[in-house]
Order: sequence, then C-alpha cells, then structure tokens
Amino acid sequence: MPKKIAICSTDSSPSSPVDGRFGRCSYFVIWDAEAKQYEALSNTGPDAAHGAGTGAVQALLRNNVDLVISQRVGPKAFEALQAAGLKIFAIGDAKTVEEALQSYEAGKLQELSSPNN
Amino acid sequence: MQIAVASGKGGTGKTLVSTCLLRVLGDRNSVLIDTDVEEPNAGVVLMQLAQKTTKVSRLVPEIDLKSCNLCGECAEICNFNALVVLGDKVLVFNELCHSCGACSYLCPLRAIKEVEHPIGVIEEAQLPSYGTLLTGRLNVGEAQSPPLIKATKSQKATSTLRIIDCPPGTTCAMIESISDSDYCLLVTEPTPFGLHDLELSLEAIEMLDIPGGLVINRWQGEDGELAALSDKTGFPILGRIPFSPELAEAYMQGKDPLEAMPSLRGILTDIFSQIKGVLS
Repeated sequence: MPKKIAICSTDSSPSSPVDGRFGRCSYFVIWDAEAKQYEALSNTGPDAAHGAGTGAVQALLRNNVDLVISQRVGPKAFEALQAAGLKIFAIGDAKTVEEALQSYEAGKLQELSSPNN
Repeated sequence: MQIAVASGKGGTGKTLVSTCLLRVLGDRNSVLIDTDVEEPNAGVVLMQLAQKTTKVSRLVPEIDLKSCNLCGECAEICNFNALVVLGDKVLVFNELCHSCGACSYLCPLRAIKEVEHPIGVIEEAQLPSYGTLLTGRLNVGEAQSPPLIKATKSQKATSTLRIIDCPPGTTCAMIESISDSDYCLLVTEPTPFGLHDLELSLEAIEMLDIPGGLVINRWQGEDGELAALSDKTGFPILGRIPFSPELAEAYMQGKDPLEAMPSLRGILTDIFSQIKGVLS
C-alpha cells in the first residue's frame, strides 16, 4: 500500500478542485496514509520556464511521495516518475482532491501506462 | 558590416531578401549565414549543397555514480530542472540542460563531469562569385537552437559583409541571430499578422539597441498601417517589393528571382545604400 499519495490540485485544501496538469498544477495535496492527514505542497512548476515536470518529480521525491494522481503527464515527468518507481493514476471523473482519493481507494482509477501530454 | 534580415512573422520573405541581396552585391568576400537552424532554406533557394560540414556540440553533465552519494545538490542548483536525483541514480535530461556547468562546478564530491552532446552541424558552401553560405542545421529532436546559432555566427567573423538570414519569431533564436549586428532589416507584409509580429520585432531590436528599417514585401500599392507604425516608431520604410505571382512562381521553381523581377535589383541596391548611409 502506498504511504503518501499526491493529488494534483488547484489549491491547498482537500476540498479544492483537482488540477489536470502534473508539472504545472498549483498545489500537490498529499495524503499521508499512516498519519491519516493531508498536507499541502505548493508547486513551483507554474512559474518555471523549463522543466516544470522534472522539478515536480524531484519535489515529490523529497516529500517521500510514492503515488501520484494526475490527469496529464508529459514524457520527461513520466520517465522520471517511472524511474523513481512512483505509480501514476488518472483523476477520472473526480472533481475535488477528496473525491479523487476516495475513487482511488475504491479502486476506480486507471493507472497511466504512458505519457499523455 | 553585419546585417540581420529578420521579420517576426514567418514567410514574409527573409530568405528572398537575404539571398537576393547577396546576389545583387556580388561580393566574393561576403558571407550569408542561415541561422534558421530548425529549417534552414537559403541553401535550397541558392541550390547549393554543403562542401564542408562541421559538427557542433554543447556540454551536458555526466554523473559518475561511483563517486556520487545522491546528495541532491545538483538538482537543487539546476535552474532548469535538468537533473532528477532518485534513490539509486541520477537522471539527466539533456534537452532541459542549458550547459551552464553549475552542477559540475558545485558538486561537493566532484562526481559530475561535462561531456559533449552533439546538437547539429555547420555547413559551408562556396557560392559562384558572390561569397560563402554558412548554414546551421539543428539535429532533429534537439530543443535549443541558440548554442548552434552562436557557433554558426562565430565562423568567418572577419568578413567585411555578413548577412544573417534569421529565424522567424522574437524568441531566443531570433535574439541570438540579430545580436551583435550593425543593422536589422525587417521584412514584413501588409497583413494584420505581418503588422502584429513586426511590432514585437521592433521592440526586440530597440531593446538590443540595433538600428533598423523595414522592407514591405508583397506590396500592393499602399503602405496602410505599416506607414503609421513606421511614423510612430521612427523605423523607416527602406523599400517595397511589389506583389508578383511571377516572382513567387519563379522562386518556387528555384529560378533566379532577379530575372523574374528585374526591378528587384534596384530596390535592393537602394536599400543597401540607405543602410550604408545610416552606418557611415
């Protein structure tokens, strides 16, 4: 079971709408499955001229994230996530961070097998 | 003298103007430099193949995993997120790297050395009686053109007349192409797109403090809003190339445009003397 799940979000709260972009989402809302709590990680990607995706991967690794829920992931970020052993699931129909996490836990989300952005 | 032929909008006639200017001047010591390295076409227009090809590389980091302790300092330093430090290795994304060397310089364990990464070639062709053509050609899939543009422009630096056939747009590639030029000739067309992108180009050359002037290509009797822009910005209209389906047809067939439109010779000679006048 993953211990830390990062969900791409437009804001810092579990009730925030999800953000379909990976590297350039505004926040990663991270669910800590052991502590049973959320934490918000502000993403520097929206302001990055280059390498928003790879930078986001590095930030998630520093925070010990082992699973990502996002909608669209570019080729470089995907390569880095795969090499790091992180699983990536598509947000699907979920509207908020909480919904996305619940859908994942209910086994309703599809795993991404290739970059799609 | 170095004259950059730029435009803003693509397809306005940069290559037409620069290749014809070279032919009209007919100086054996002149150099035409095609810095539209993603799709160079001056050689196609002049029907010249490369006689000499030089490879160009730039430096990218290579990690010695035996010395590396995965501290993450390099990824922290990199302004372009070109390095990702994982639990057991370091990923290097060459296409993101800007060859600044900071990671290698600042690695606490000296575990990073810089190695050459090929980015493209410089092709050289001797033209019949009107100089030399230098073409930068970027490798397919390579994202950054400025290092190759810089390398191509560094060749034959002492030639008395250098004409740069620039890439379109106002991005880094255009800026690298026009920088260090004595004059920037902006080729435009009387369309809303031509006008819009010309305004951006004028801002760029103003920031670089390069004197410039306009050539209106496909001119149909009126300067229209380009006249107002010229008045407002102070960049003069140096010449007008009339709209001509015959010229376009001949150009597409690889024929000499100066034969299809003999008046073009006078138009370009006049433009060149106006540039010389500004620079003297």
